[in-house]
Amino acid sequence: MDFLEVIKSIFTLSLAYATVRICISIVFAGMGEMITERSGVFNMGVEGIMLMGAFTAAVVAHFTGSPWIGLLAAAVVGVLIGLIFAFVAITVKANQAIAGLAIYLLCVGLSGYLLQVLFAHGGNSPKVETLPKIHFGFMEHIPVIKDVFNDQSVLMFPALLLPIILYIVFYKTPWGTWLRAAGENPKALAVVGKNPITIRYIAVLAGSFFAGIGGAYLSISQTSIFSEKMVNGRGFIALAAVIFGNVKPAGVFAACMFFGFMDALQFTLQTVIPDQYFPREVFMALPYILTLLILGGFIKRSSGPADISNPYEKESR
Amino acid sequence: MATILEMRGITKRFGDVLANDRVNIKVEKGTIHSIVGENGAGKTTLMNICYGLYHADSGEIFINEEEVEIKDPSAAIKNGIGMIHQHFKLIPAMTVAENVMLGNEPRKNRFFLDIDELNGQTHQISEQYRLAVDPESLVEDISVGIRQRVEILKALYRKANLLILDEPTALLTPQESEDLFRIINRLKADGKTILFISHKLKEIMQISDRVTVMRDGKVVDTVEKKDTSEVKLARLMVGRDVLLKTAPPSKKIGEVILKAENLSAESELHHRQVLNNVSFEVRSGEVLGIAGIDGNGQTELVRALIGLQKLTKGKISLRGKDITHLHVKEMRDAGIGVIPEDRLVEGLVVNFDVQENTFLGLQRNKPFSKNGLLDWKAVASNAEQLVEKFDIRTPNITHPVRLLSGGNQQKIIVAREIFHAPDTIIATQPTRGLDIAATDFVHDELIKQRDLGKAVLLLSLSLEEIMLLSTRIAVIYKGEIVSIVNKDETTAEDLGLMMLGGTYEHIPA
Ligand SMILES: Nc1ncnc2c1ncn2[C@@H]1O[C@H](COP(=O)(O)OP(=O)(O)OP(=O)(O)O)[C@@H](O)[C@H]1O
Ligand SMILES: [Mg+2]
Repeated sequence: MDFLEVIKSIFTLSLAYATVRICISIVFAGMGEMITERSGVFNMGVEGIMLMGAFTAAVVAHFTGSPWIGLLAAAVVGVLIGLIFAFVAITVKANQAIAGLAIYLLCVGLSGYLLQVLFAHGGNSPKVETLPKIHFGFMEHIPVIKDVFNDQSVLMFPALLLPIILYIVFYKTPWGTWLRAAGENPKALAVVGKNPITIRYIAVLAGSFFAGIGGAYLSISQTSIFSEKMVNGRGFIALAAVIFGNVKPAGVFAACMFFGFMDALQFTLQTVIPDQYFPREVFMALPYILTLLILGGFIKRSSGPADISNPYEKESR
Repeated sequence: MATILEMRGITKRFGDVLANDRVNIKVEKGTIHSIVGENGAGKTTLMNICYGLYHADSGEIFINEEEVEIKDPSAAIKNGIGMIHQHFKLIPAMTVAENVMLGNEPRKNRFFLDIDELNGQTHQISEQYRLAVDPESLVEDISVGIRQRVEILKALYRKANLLILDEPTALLTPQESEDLFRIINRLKADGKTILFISHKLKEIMQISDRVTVMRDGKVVDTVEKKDTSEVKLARLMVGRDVLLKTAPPSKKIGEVILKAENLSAESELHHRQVLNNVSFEVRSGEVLGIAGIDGNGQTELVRALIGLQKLTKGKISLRGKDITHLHVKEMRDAGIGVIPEDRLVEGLVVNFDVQENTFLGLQRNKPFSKNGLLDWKAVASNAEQLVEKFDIRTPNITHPVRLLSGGNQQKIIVAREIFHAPDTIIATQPTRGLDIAATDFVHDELIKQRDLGKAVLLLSLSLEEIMLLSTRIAVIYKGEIVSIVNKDETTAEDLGLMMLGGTYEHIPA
C-alpha cells in the first residue's frame, strides 16, 4: 500500500461521522461537569454516574420497551446519585476528590451487581430498542453535511445546542453570574444574600443530570446494549476536557470534540492497519495517552474558578 | 434623636471562646459611631451578627426601635444594613459593575442581564455619591482603595442606611484614608449612619461622634468624642496606660549587615521601571526605616531582597557575601527574617494550626528538626512561649489560624519572624491591624532585637511608625531613594514633602 492511500483511507468522511457519533456522550458529560466546576465543586464521580445512566437506560428500555422512558430514568438516576455526592461534598464537606471516587466505585459495584441480579448472565444486558436516528431529506443533497450529520442520533441536536445555551446562561443571565460567583468567591455571594450552598447543589444536580444522559446515549443510542465496560473512561476524559477547555463552553466543547476524534481515529486505525504490523492495544491506548500528555502540558496554564474544591462553611472567616 | 440600631444582650460563643458577652450597643441615626477594642475583643463578631453572617446565642436586635430577626445577610439588607468587611468580599475575575450589582442584577426580558443598565446604574450611583469608579474594569486590576469604593457602592446600591466599615483603613495609605473620611462625612451629611471600626485612635478622634470601647467580648463604655481623647480611649481599651513612644537611640551600631547596591528592576507587565539604582546599607544595631507613599517601589524592593523580584541590575549582600541570586529558602537560611505585606497570602497557612504556623519555613532548622525528623515537643514549647509572650489570643496552640481574629493572625507572623531571624529582620507593615497595646509590644520587640545587634529594615506606610522606630530614614519615591537622613536631623514635615516628590494632589474622591 502506498502511503497516500493509507492516509486517504484513514481520513474519510466516515471518520468525521464517527467523531460526531462518539463525542455526543462526552459532550453531555463534559458540559455537565463544566456547570458543576463553575460553581466551585469538582465531581470526579462523573464516570460512575455515566455508568449508572447507561445501565438504567438499558434496563428501563428493556422492561418498558421504550428507550425514551429509559432516557428519562437515566437522567433521574443521575440526579439522585448527584444528590448523594452533593450531600457528601457540600453539606458534609468531605474531600471532593475522595467523595467523587467513592461515588464512582459505588456506581461500578451497583451496576455490576444489579446486572447480575436482573439478567444473570455475565457482563451484558439483552439487546434493547434504541432512540431514533434522524434523517433529513433536504440534507441528502448537501455534500459533507449529509455524510457527517445525517442519520445521527436524535441526541446530537441537544448535544450541539448545549454549549451555546450554556454560554448564554453563563454570561448573559443573572443565574450564570451567581453560578460563576459561587465558584470564584462564595462569601461574596453570601454577603449579598444569595446562598452559595443552594447554587452549588443545583450545579451538581444539573451536572449529574447531563452525565446520566451522556451515559444513556451509550447504551440506547450509540449501541443497543448495556455492557459493564461500556463507559470505558469517557467520564474521566470529560473531566480532562473541562480542564483542557478552561471551564468555558466553547473550549470544553472543542476539547470534547477533540477527544471524540481521537477515539474515532483509533477505531479507524485498528481496521485500516492490520494487526500484524502494529499491536491494536497501542491504538486503543492512544486517546488516553494523549489526554495525559495534553493535561501535563496545559494544566498549569488553565485558569478555572478560584474557589474550586473548597467546601463552603457558613460561620467561617 | 432616633436610634437606628440597638443590640441588646448579645452573646456569642465559639467553642471555648466567648467572643461576645452580653453586649449592648445603641447607634443614633445620622452619626458616625466607632467601635474600638483590642485584637480579639469581639468587634468583627458583633458586626457579623448584626449583618446576619453569625447567629447570636442570645440577645435581641432592634432596627428603628422595632425588634427584628436578622437570620441572614438578605434580612440585614432588607433592614437597610450594609457591611464593608475586614477582608473584602469581591470577585476579582468580574467587573466593578458585576460586583456592585451581584445578586440584584438589572434584567431585560426577565431572563437576561441588562449589561447597559448594569454599567449605567453603577456609573450613576458612583456619580451620585462622588465615588469615582470605572464600571467596566475588572476588580483584579484596581487598587485596594478603589476596591473599597466598590464595596461601599455595593452597600449603597442596596439602599443601606447603616453602613458598617470593619477596619476600612487598615489596608489604605494615609492619603486614601483621607479620601475615605471625606466620603464618610458626605454620607453622613446625606443622612446615613456609619459604624466604624479601627485601631488607629487618631482616626477615631478625627471622625467619630461617639465611641464604644470593647474588651474581652464585653462593652466597657460608650463615650462622646468630645469627652474623650486618644489616651483615655487607650486606657479604656487595655485597662492601663499605653502610649506609643519614641525608641531610645541605638546603643551600638556595628558592621554593615545588609547591603543593597544599585538595585534596578522593571515591572513584569509593562516593563515600567519600578526600582531605580536603589542603594542602602543596614548596620548591626540600627533600624533603617523606608518611608514612602504606597506604590513607590516598596513592594518590589522587599521582593527583590528576598529573591522574588528579578533585578535588571544591582547586588545584594549579607555580611559581605553576595546573595543576589539566592532562592527564598536560601535567603532565610542565610539569616533573613521577613514579615510580609499580605499576611493571609504570604505569611500564614491559614488552615494550619497555631503551632504549625509558628515554625513555618523553619522546619529544617534547629531546634525543630532532630535527625531529620520533626521534634514536636520543641515545636509545641516554642509555640507556647510565643503565644504567651505576644499575647496571642487563641484557645490553644492546635487551634486553626483561620479562626483567629485578624490582629492575632498578624501577631503569629511577627512572633515567628522576629525570634528566628539570626541577622536581619525585614519588617513590612509589622503592626497593620494590631491594637495599640500589641503595636507597642511589637515596637519594643523590634527595638530589643536591634539592641541584640540585628539589622532591622522597616517598611511602613505610617510615617509616625517610621519616626518612632528608625535610627535612619530613607525616603523612596518612584522607585528611587531620594534621600537618606538621620532620624534626629529631620522632621515629619520634611519627610512628608520628600515622600510626595515635592508635590501632592488628592485624587478626587
Ligand atoms: N468563626 C469563628 N470560629 C471560631 N472562633 C472565632 C470565629 N470568629 C471569631 N472567633 C473568635 O472570637 C474572638 C473575637 O474575634 P473577632 O474577630 O470578633 O475580634 P476583633 O475584635 O474583630 O479583633 P481584630 O481587631 O483582631 O480584628 C477571637 O478570639 C476569635 O478567635
Ligand atoms: Mg476584626
